[in-house]
Amino acid sequence: MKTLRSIAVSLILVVVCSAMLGSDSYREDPVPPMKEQIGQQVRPLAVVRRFKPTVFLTNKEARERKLDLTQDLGESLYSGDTLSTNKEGYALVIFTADGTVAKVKPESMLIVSGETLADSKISKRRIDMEQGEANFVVEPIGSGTFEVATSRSVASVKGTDFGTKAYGYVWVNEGQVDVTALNSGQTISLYEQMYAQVDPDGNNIESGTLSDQEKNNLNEGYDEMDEELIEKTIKVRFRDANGQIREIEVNIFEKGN
Amino acid sequence: MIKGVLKTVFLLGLAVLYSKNGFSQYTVQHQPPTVLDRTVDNALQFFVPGILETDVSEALLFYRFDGDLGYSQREIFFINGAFTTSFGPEELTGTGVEYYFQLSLRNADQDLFYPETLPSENPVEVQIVDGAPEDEIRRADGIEYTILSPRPGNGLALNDVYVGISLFYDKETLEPGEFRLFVDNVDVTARADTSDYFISYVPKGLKMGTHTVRLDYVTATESLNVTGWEFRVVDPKKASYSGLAPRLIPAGRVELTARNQVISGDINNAFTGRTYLSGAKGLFKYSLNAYITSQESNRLQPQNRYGLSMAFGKWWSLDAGHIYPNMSRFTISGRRIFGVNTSMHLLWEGLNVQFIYGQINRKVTNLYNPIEVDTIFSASQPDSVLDKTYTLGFKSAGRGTFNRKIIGGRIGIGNPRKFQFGLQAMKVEDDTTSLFNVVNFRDVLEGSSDLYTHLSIADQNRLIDNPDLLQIQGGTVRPKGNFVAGADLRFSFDENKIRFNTETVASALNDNIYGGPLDSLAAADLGFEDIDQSNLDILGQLARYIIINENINILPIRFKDFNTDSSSTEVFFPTSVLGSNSELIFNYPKNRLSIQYRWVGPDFVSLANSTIRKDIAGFTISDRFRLFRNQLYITLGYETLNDNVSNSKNATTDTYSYRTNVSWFPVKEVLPRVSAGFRYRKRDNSVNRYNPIVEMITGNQNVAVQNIRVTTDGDTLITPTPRLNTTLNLNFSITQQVRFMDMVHDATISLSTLDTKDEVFEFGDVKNSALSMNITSRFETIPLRTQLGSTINHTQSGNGLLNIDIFGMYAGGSYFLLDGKLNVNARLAFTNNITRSRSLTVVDNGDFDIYNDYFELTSALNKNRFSTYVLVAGAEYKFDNHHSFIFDSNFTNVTGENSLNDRIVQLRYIYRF
Repeated sequence: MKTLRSIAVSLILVVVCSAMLGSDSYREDPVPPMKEQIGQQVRPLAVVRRFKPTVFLTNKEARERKLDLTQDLGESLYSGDTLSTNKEGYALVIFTADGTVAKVKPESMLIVSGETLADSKISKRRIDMEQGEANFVVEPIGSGTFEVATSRSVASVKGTDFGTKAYGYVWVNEGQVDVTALNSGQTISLYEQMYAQVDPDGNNIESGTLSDQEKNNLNEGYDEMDEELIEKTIKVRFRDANGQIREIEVNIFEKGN
Repeated sequence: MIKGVLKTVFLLGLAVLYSKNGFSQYTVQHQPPTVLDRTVDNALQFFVPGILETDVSEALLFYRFDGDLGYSQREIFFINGAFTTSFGPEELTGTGVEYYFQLSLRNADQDLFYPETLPSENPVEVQIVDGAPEDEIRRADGIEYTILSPRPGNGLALNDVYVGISLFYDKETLEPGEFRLFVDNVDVTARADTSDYFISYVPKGLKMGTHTVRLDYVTATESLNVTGWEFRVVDPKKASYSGLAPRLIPAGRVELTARNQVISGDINNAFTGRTYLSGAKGLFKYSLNAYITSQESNRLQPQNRYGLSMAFGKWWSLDAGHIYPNMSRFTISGRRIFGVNTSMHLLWEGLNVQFIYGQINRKVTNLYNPIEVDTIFSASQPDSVLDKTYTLGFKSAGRGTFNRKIIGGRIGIGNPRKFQFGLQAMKVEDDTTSLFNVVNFRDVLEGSSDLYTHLSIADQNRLIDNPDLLQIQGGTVRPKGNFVAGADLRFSFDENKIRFNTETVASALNDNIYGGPLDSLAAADLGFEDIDQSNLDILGQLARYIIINENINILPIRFKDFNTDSSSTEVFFPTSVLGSNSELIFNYPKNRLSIQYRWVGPDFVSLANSTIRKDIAGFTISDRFRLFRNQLYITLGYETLNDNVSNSKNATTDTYSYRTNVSWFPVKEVLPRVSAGFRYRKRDNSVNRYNPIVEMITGNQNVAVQNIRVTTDGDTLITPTPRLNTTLNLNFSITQQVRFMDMVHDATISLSTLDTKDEVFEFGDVKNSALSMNITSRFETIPLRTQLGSTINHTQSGNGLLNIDIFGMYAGGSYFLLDGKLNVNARLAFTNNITRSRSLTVVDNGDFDIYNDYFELTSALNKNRFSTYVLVAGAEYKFDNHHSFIFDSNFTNVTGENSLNDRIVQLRYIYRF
């Protein structure tokens, strides 16, 4: 009798296991077929990779909402969306085409717009700096066009590290940036450690070279969003209590973006 | 008399045959893997409900690849309630592995095995596959991507992990399919934010450490890899310390254990210490391990074990202490010794030397009882003493062993990957001086007087005058000697894809080396009165390798021109002591063909490897090919073997085996891994069953004790026992990973059946079926891992002689608390064993005629039933990376006739440095 019970228990187990195996649990979280998704979903222009503490997002329909630190990590930005930070707010935006990074300082507002292709990384992107300032690290390959416009200037880049302020001040950490005065159309090229200032009328451009100290001052504060850590190995040599020289390898994580 | 002997021998044989099935309260639970993956470590775990570490004398895994001659062996340690070992990628050779598990217990006469039924003949067989390394998964063409986060190799804080990938492709040129995102090889697509050209996912509950992301594009027919990378979750406040560069100062761990246990009401405390240290400086590496226990006993082989390993590049290695050397399959292959094993590989591996020295067994002293005197009185005159016998007996478990020494070496000339010729030799010999061992009364006088002072003076004098009158209970402990020597050759072509190996060795075994080599007096006793002194001198010279005397298993002296005037003796080389194995392997990526021929004589013996099949010759052919992008493995095998290779038996048994296995090892994780195989074996010695006398009495001649034939003269003669049986072995195993209710389940079901049909012996059938199921579940949202399993085993043997039913279930889990510092775990196991047995008796019909005797099952049914409940619970608390405390408890309840309640609590401290 007990043998029968054992067999019955075993059979139940087999049935349960088989049911679990055969249940095709992927149906629990179905992924719609590709064909249904085509045309309904597009790639965002950029994502808000990181932000703190108060950042607002306004979409094309002018609906504004405050991003939630616990839920909106990686919030998508589509063409026409406006990102604004309050007086303590910082944001790090990554453009989906090539990973170009924009670091936005407090009390800034920018509008992203552009077009991307389905089968190519080449894209057109334009940032309108309404107020405040931001730093951009633009990927040099396959980036198409990347422009940052203020009320006085347009900075056009193809791969560089530069910053711009809403009042038409542009500086370059690395690479080349072409700055155009909006009214006069005057264009100059800036290279590493150079700056340009467009006058309020958008006619004239003043440019020059930055000292290290000036450049550091301009870049100050942008590391607030550098929370991604790049692993590096350093070797430390020291003499131990026995007088032997020993070497220690220490893995460290350096702030990156 | 003959009948009595026959009865005894046969019933003893049956007892041995079925003793493995045993009546033990323990059973071994094991979930065989569906396949072994050559690209990863493959763990094998054996769980024995109710077993305690202090019960364990030794646990061994016997394994062989592609039907090797003998099994290699390795010791498995009992850790955290289970016997666990693993096969690493470098260990897995060939296309399949066969293995069985043997557990020796301290206070049990018989060992436990898995599989239970004739494990060496019916081992667990698992196919080896080459896994699915990343580079073998086809890359997705036409899909470009940008990794937005995390950047490959970067570190992220726990609350900052965000996975984002942009995709770029022309949908018109892409085969329909869908993208699937995997984090740590778990499909998270359903919870990711996916669109045609962008996928993002915010993982929850990741632990500190390295994690992987993989993106596949899955079509109806295949899975294509788009990209994959690693990132780390770190605590930004802490630096990651990777330790010192290779250094001489050791790193390792020390583990101290204190245990209290109550077994059958007896309280016992045990303490153990285990340590492992390792260090390196440049090309020099070393490691040290030690296991010290308060359970060490000089009545057992060493329980305290320690070893040292050193190596300098690939040129030199040394293992010392308790080690497990390998020299060749015919000599020593993983047997534990206490000694040294060193190898040198010089001149670009053109000169390879290996040397082994140590002891296989250590001395265990004989414990004798005082001599017992039995007086034999005259039947007619009860007061008249006819004779006296004197017996020296052993105390309980008092029979000792000699210190058994081993020395061996091998030299190989040439690089083994191109051409190598090797010579090898190994000597194993008991040290006759290591043990006080009584052979006759003269030896007793050299030992303790307590053994004989109670005897009368007359008895003592009688024994002094006739020392051989003293009988040793069970016979005296005999010192043995063994020598194995041979040569091997290997070469390869086509970049090692075609390989040929051959090895031939000869062995000699002496069952009693007392007295040294054969002398003229002993030779005369054997009938070799005319043996030349020169021949005896040769034996004397050979004594440095093997002592050859009348006790050697095959004496290399024979008569020449027997029964003639010129009768003399000559020394010859007996081929029955040879063992040989040759193998040709074609090892191409899609196909592996091996052809093997072996010849092992009946007198071949290696005391350092007892698993070699003797008296066997024949071919084994195995072909394994892969199909469908290495996802389907098909193995075909054929083997023909015969015994009686030296024509020393009256009949030759031929064995034919056919083997097929199909393993499905898909790349897609959504598909199950499946393995199915069958093995058919037929054994036939071409002797017909014939006994019309028993046929007339019982109607079934297959129950006859004797097989007979009637000559043309009408005489009845006994013929060899017929043998004709077939065995069908079926195996099926399926493993599937499924996601269900926020859990990832790894489910495995294995089924194996064994059906042996004996055509010529009524009680020779054996049927066994075993079903095992296991589900290991990982929760994605909470740090919990669970395990649930069941085993059902049914054995029928001897047509009602013995039936065994075993049902087992277990459930367990482990949970991490306090940011992973505290791990609690528990496991509950239950087994129910039912054994029904009958005895086999010989019916002699009340006469002295042995031809009409037959076997019959007794009507009395012995039924034994017991259940075992085992609760194992424990916790580990890590103070930091260096210090941990582990608490284990084990409660065992055995119900049935011998109900038991055992418990064990154990506390361990681990220091890592």
